[in-house]
Amino acid sequence: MAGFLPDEGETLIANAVFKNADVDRGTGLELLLFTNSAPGETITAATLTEPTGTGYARIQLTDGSWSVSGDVASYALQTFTAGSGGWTGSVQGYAIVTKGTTPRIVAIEVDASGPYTFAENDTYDVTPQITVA
Amino acid sequence: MAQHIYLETAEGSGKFKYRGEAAASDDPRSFAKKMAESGLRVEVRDQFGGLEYVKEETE
Repeated sequence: MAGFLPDEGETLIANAVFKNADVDRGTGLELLLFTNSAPGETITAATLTEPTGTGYARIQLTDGSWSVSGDVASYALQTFTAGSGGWTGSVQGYAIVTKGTTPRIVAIEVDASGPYTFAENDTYDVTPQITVA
Repeated sequence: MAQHIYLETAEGSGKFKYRGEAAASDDPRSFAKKMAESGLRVEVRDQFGGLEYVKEETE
């Protein structure tokens, strides 16, 4: 995986740390799969594209379930499973977005082994491990 | 002109896989810069060049 924090995530962190403004953070985070071919620094939660089909849904990440050691934030393994008919769209990686007033991307990881297409019962495992650097 | 995106599968492997055609929300130049920070190379072609290829390095 090759990950980065896009511009809007940097802005969210700056607002949260320096202004104690977290209106865009909300409670909890969401884990999603994206189909964008070449997301750059300006990618936003609003412009992320996701696979569609039976069984695809964002996974809810509970704030208290993260562990942080040094500059690495980790979360337990999460599994996406395609339902009947599979999914439309090639999965390029995963992203984590906030759930506040205006959702923001706080991490995006490109799967260099991808992209992947999903038939029924295919799975995609994600163990979020984000280095804040 | 279409932009077809290829990403190296592992650092230094020379093997590139097709990622798809860039859409309006994509930014191939910035994508290449961010992937380079992880040691991965990106190539952008104006024509589809197959699902994967190995780039021969010459000294």
